[in-house]
Formats: sequence, C-alpha cells, structure tokens
Amino acid sequence: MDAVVRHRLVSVQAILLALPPAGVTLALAIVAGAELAGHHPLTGGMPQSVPEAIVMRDEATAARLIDEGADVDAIGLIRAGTYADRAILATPLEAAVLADAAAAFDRLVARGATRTPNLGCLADDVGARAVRQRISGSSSCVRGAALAELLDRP
Amino acid sequence: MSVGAPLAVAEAPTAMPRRWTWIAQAYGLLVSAVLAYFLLGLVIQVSDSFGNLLAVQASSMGELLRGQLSQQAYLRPLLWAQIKLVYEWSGGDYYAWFRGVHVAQVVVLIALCVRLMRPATATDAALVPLGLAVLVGAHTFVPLLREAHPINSYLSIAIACVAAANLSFQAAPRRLTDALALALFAGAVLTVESGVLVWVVCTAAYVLGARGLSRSAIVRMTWCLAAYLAVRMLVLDVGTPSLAERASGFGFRQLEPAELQARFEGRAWMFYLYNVVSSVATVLFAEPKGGVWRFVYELLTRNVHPWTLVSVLSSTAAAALVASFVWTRRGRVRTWTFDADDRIVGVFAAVLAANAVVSFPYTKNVIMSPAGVFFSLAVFAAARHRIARPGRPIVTVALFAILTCGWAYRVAGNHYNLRYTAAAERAVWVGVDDWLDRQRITLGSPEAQTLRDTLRADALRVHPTPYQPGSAWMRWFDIDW
Repeated sequence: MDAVVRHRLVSVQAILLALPPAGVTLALAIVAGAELAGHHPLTGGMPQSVPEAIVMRDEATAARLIDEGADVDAIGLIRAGTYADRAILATPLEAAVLADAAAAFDRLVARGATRTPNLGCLADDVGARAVRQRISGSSSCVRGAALAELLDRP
Repeated sequence: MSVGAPLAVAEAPTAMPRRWTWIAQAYGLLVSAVLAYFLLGLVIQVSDSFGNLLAVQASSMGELLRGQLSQQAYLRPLLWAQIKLVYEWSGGDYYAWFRGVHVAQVVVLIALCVRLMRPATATDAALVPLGLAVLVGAHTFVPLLREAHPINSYLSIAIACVAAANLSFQAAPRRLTDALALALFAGAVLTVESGVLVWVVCTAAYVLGARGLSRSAIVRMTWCLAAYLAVRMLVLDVGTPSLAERASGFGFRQLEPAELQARFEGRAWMFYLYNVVSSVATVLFAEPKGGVWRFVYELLTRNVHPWTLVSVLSSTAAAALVASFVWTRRGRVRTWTFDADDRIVGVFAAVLAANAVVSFPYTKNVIMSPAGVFFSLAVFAAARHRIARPGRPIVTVALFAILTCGWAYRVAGNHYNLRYTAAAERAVWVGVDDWLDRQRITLGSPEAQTLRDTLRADALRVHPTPYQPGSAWMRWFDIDW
C-alpha cells in the first residue's frame, strides 16, 4: 500500500513538472492539426478583404487580392478581433494608416489608391508615425474626430 | 508539496529503463513536428537568402570556394558549398528543398539534445519538456528558425556542437567516433567561424573526464585548430569584421556602423568587451538582447511588456538553478571527479565563455545560439539534480513554477513569432524590385529573373501566408529582433 501511495506521489509531481511546457506543445499541435484540417482556431483565418489583409500585416495576400481584381479604393470589412474588438469598415489606405504599415501605404499609392483628406488626422489619432511622415498637410485636425468617423462608418 | 522522499523511489532503476528514453524521444519528435509545421509557414526570404541564391546561381562551385578564400573578414567555404549543392539538387523547387533541409536540421538537433539528456526514469522524462522548452523558447533559438541564408549556418554549428558532445559522452573511444569528431570539427569550422566551438565542446568534455573521444583525437583536433588559425591569419589574411562592418546593439538602441566608428574608433576594445559581457548575460538572463538593454529601458520608462518580463524572469530562474547546482557540486572540483550531469554543466560553461569571446565583433542573438542550446542541457541536468535533492521544498516549488510556466509561455511566444515572420517575409517579396534597387542589384540574366519570379510566386501564391493571429495576441507576445 505504501509503495502504491509513493508511486502516485511521484506521478503527480512528474505530471506537474511536465504539464506547462507539454501542455503548450500539445495545444500548438492541436492548432496545427486543426489548420491542416481546414479550421483556424485562435486566428481569423484568411483575410477576407484588402483592408483586413493590411491590418493583419499580410501584404502578400493584399497584393494577391489586388492582382486578382480587388479595387484599391474599395471599403472593406475588418472583422472584430482583427484590429479592434469591434468590426471596422475601412479603405486599404485607411487600413495601412491603422496598422502604421508604411511600405503597404507606399505600394497602395503606387497602385493608384486615392489619398483622402482624413488620412493625416487618422494617422495622428492612432499614432501612426511612419505613415504620418508620408502624408503632408492635414494641420487642422480635431483630435479623435477622424478615428471616430471611421469607427462610426455605417 | 513535499518533493523529497517519493523521488528516491522514482530514481530507482525500473524494469524497462529504455521506456522513458523512448517516451522522451517521442515527445522530442512532437516538439519537432510542431516546430516543422510553423517553420514550413516561412518562405525563402529576400534579405540574406535571395542575394545568396543569385550568387550561387551565377558561379560554379570552384568559383564560389575560391571567392571565399579571398574574403576580408569571413572564411565560410563550406556554407557556400552547402547552399550550392542544395540549390543544384532542388531542380527549381527551392521552397521544398531549403525548407526541407531546415526541418531536418531541427529534428536532428532536438533528437541529439534529448539523447544527451539521457532520460532514464519517469522524473527524467517529466523534465524533458522543461529542457526542450528552454531550448525552443530561448530568444537565441528562434533566429535559428526565422533566418536562413537560405541554410541557417548557426543551426548547423549548434547541431555539430551537440553531436560532438554526444560523441564525447560515449562510454569509451573508438576510431569511428574519433574520425567523426574530427570531421565535425573540420566541417563546422569551414562553415562559419563559431565552428571552433566544436573543439571547445570536445576539449572541455575530455578535461572534465568524458572519455568518448581518445586523447589523440583531442590532440589532432587541436592541431587542426592551430592550422586553421594559422592559414586564416597568416596565409589567407582573413581578418575580423571591423566597426564599419555592421550595426550592433549598444546601451538602449542599435548603433549604425558610422555611430560605432565615431564612438569607439581607437578604443574598439571597449566595444568588444561590452559585446562579450552582453553575450554572456543574454544567455543567462535574456538581457540584453542583441546588445540592447530593453528590459532595463522598459523599467526606466515604466512600460514593461509582459513578454520582456517573462523572458528575464524565466532565464534568471534557470541561471539560478544552474548556479545552485554548481554550488552544491563544488566539492567535486577539488577531487576532479565528475558525473555526466557535472560534465554537461561544465561543457555549457566552456561553450558560454568561448561563444561570447567568438562573438566579440558584434552582438546578435543568433550567434549565441550554441550556448543557448547547451544552457537548455545544463538546466535539465541541474533540474534533475534539484528534484532528486530538493533542499527547501517551498523554494524548489516556486523555482519550478517560474521555470515551467515561464518557459512554456516563451515557447508559445516563439511560435507566434514564426507566424508573424511568415507574413513579414512575404511582405518583402511584394516589393522585391524596390529591394533590388536599394541593394543596387541588377538581374542581368534570364535565369536570375526566373529565380526571382519563382521565389516571388512561392511567397505570394504557391504557399500563401499562414493564418495570422489577431491583434489581441500582440499584447502578450513580442518579437525579439
């Protein structure tokens, strides 16, 4: 009986020692298996629009969607949990400002995306320093107004 | 939780001691498989890889090797030979071949590490996840996966060092083992400079009493090292990287070559000393990283990121565990009688010191990866010893809680890091022509243009970006550039 109890104590200790790192490895294995099976736990899956790809910093998918005919000025849905807790409707350039993705911003402009007047104020609102350097003007910003306008977009 | 008496039972030989070894190796395979899945999410990168592939495409093997012999600061002929061979063998399927080699390297490294841990009991096997978490979760390990040239030479060196340790820790020397060790040394040192660490591993293990390699093998390896240094310095006149060679971390930020020259010209030794000390500290305390004291900066600005805090805490706890092991075994130094765990910790100390000295010209997390690998082995050895003789149980429980949870968190973070990198690498391929312009590289031949188009198509269409984690994860994890 004594031996049985001692054996169990060793096992509990061994399990406690192994549990955190082995648990993370198992969780990652489950995520990998689920993805191979076509699911996407813990992520939103493939970007559904050019703006969503840009806020995910997935420029390759954004470029592919544009190559396949997506409009560089079209407002697209950024799902809740991707950039913020709520869903956002934004143009690709606005998405580049939200993510402060300067290279994506430059490439969208090069591909003919239209700079709207609110971009500089939006960059100020979200603290997008890298993108802000690429946008001239917009000196008369009401703090927070551009971001509020974007978030309230119907 | 009392961890004393029951463990004595666990340490007793079991009827099937190899069962735990196999279970540990199976767990190692699972870790490798998960890493491989995330690793296959990366593509051949533009910086470091595309330029190298252009170079091997344009040159014959002989030209590449001759070119290496006339370099000013580096001597890495076998690295270029490996890239050329895989490039030629790939037949244009670059992603599958170079990523395949990378995955194979990871599998081999982890299997060799588990073998060196020698898990023979249930408790040993239970500590293997911690040991592998210290290996895979380290900030010195993730660049081994994230970067490639497009073969990661530092990963090759880490494998060579652990393989050399496996040979050194064999029960008795054999001709084949000696020959393998010499071949490992020659291959490693001609791949990248830190290959000299293979000699450090073998020599340190021998001095500490390991007899897997014969004395004559150690002597021959030492002669080879002397010949390498003599040829490098006196015949080929290959120097070391100058201050103007590359940017490096110093203080709270990265300094560009011009800034380094302005600050340290005429007293470069101060910068080199800083690099050596930083390199030792980064392995033991995860601070500084790449020479930048990020945790201290975050403390000073009262903006500590959870990732930084966990990194420093878990590394410091691991270093404390190893230090306490050394303290309890100090009597053995006087009698110079060591067991396998003592030798592992001793070899780690030697590799840490030598690795730090080798990386004196500039600090980079990846350069310290061999020391990081041996740190995980030392932590495993010290943990096994601590569990068997826990001393103050409350301290032991607290220590292992920080270690297991902290390093598990870092493992998750490094996989997040790989996902983030998968998108970042592909973003560079979107604007690869801009990159070529900035590097002043002209794709003169149709073959070079085909190579660019193939790799770009791989990155953008053939192997799409793996699913990216949402913004909520960024609050918890960070990227240890």
